[in-house]
Amino acid sequence: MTRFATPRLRAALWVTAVGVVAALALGRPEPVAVAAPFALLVLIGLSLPRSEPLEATVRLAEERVRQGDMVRGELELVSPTTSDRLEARLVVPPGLALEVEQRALAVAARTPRTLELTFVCNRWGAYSPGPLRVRRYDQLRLVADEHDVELDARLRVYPTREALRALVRPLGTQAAVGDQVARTKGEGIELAELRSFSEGDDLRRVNWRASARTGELVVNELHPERNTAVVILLDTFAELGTGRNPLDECVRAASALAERYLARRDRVGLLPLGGTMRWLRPASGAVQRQRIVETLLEARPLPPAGEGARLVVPTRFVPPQALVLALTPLLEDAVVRALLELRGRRFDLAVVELPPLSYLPVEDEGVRRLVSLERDLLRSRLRARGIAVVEWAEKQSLEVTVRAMEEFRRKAHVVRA
Amino acid sequence: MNGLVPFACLIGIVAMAVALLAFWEDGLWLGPAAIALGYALSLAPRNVTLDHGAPAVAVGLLAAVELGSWSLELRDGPEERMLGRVGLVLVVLAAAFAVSIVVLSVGGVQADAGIALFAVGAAAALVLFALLAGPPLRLRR
Repeated sequence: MTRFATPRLRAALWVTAVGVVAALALGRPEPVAVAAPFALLVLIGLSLPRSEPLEATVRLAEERVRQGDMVRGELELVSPTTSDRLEARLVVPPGLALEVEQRALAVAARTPRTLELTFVCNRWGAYSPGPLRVRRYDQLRLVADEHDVELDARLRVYPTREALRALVRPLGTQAAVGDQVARTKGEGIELAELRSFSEGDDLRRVNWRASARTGELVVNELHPERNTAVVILLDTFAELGTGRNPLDECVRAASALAERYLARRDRVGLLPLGGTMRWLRPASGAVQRQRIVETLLEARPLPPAGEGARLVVPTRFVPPQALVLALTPLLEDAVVRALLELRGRRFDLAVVELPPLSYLPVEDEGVRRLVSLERDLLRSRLRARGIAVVEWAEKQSLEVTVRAMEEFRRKAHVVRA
Repeated sequence: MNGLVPFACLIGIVAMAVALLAFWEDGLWLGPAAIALGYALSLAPRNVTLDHGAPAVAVGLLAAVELGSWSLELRDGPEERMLGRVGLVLVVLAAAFAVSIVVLSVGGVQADAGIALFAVGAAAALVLFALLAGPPLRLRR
């Protein structure tokens, strides 16, 4: 707890000092008569005891909300002493805003006082509102005791829900049943081809119409429906020093993609590049969805890794045949190297690039062109190595970007074939 | 000396005005202190008789400090008990007037003060300056 002299007490001290010195210098009583009330205030102010810390608790109507939502809450204050003026300011982390940050109120001793709060959740993240900065004045407003009260409220703000219907389909499928038609043949619904009946074939698979046309028994070959494994690679080196940063978009996209893949029974993992975020092995189900979203909330933009830095991509977390979907502005050489290394290990890799020029205020047309050329060169380099790279242009929906990626991969596949 | 009195008072008034307009907290002590200095300088000529207006000056200065600092406090949120605050200010001003009259009456008695009383006054001044510079009275943030 810190005690401060208010401007009132400081003024009283100075006037008293001037009065006493002037009275001594002039040998007259009037300056002392002017200073006497101020001297009395100084004495009172200095003799006031320190007050005990205040107790405060925050209750929130909801603890899990979406970005852009408003959360109502209550702040309960219990002061051990009476105060005619108590200024309370709740410090909220960036990304969260309060409709009214500071209040001045009068409190009675040991009587709870409740204040209404409204939080505006501007950005996704895991937040702990607080501390509460309290400044409590004495009755004569001569001294103020200031202290911080830690609060134990937690608020988790999830990224806005992105409507997504299209998905980037992995080239390979996994063993478990899912929604994606596998390239292999087996038990399923989707027709693959017709072939002549051979001994041991199930009679239920005989295609009677085709058999009648050809005069011999023909059976249907089917594609089985399998699930896929997708690993989302999140580039957290996205600190650009501007108000907006690509990481916000990356997290929003990762959340939407994970939700959509998991909805069709695929296995989804999360590999953040850089930082202290944990890696999540691919898994399916509602628990994994929750795990991914909770992990994404911990994402913080990191400063550049620097030249020569090397990123460790735990390839043991990436199952064979899995699609590695990277969300990155491709700004860091270390990230580009990590992507090339993944591709070198024959992983199915797709990169959604968030062009940094959308986030940087570059006015000079020449500089913009130069940067664009550099980006084109980088994309060409990656594509030449068999990595599908698609730009997620500013103001373009994720749906359009994903469709563009799917189209790109389909065409690239045809060309390779 | 005559030129210094209006100069000190002008500095005080300007400091108070700046304090209120620009939320400059230091102006709240600089202003009243400068005006008090100006008042003391106006008493410097030896032929001036006892000034019975000193309590009014004290109340005036205190009112300026009270209302000025109240105005700065309102920047951090409105007052909840406005009437109580007004009452408190009036009580403080009345008490200040009474204290000032008593001190003036006692100090106005013609008596030989002597070196002991002068030493007490000098010690009081030193204590005040020590308080002003000391850590317990830091200006609030």
